[in-house]
Amino acid sequence: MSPPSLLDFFGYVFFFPGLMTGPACDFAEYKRWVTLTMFDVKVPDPKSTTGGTKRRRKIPHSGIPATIKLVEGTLWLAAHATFSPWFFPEFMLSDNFLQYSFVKRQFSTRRALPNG
Amino acid sequence: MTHRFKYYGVWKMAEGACILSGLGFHGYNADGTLKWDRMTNVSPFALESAQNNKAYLEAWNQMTNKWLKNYVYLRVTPRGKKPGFRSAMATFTTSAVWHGFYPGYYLTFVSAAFIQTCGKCTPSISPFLCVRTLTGSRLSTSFPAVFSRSRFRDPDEI
Repeated sequence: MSPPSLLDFFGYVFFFPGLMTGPACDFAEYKRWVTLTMFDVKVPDPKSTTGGTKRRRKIPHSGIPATIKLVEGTLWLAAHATFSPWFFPEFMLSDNFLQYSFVKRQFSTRRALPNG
Repeated sequence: MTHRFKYYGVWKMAEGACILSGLGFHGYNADGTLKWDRMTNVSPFALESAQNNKAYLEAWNQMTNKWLKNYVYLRVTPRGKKPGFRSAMATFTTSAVWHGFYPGYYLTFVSAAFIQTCGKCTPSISPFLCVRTLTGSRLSTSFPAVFSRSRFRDPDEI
């Protein structure tokens, strides 16, 4: 295995899901995605004798699953905007929190109401 | 919990962006339908209903967990040995360095390494296991936080 070329290396480092977010994908995945070899898989087809058919379009259509994720994300953000005025971690640091009994505190970390 | 909603939101949107660009492609199911779960980063249900620390951490930031496991946890382990506490500590410290230089990160991640290792040693005799099961999740993390808070503040006030 030879090390990647400088261009590939910096491409990965500055690719946002590469290093910046965590990293969220590894270099091999990035490389296979960029060179499109990731999509060289056969569609399983029981009728075929060679184990499947090849797609004509390299990258499959992905608009609908992507939109579903966008809607799901939007709903989570809406839930965050709706509920964070009621439940917030700062409550645990306020003096009201210490008025609670030890047992009640265990549950209040998740279900804290302002003003106790 | 509501604090985590914003992470769910942006991660799900980012996953959608990865799917749109094709990076989320993960092959086909046996029936020929497409799988788009390569870039799934968080499983809110698995996380909120986690019964132990391992399941909890596994459901959170899954892609980075996988990266850290393959490129730190398994790489710092000497060949032929099983990864142990030192590998876990190296992994969590790497994650802390990635997050930044606030001391809080190091406290959190180093104690997470301890918690993770303890959970590995005594998964069946943990005294909080049954409580956690009853309340759904998360007592494991809220308990130390509440306990340390009462230890720090109580002498003056109660």
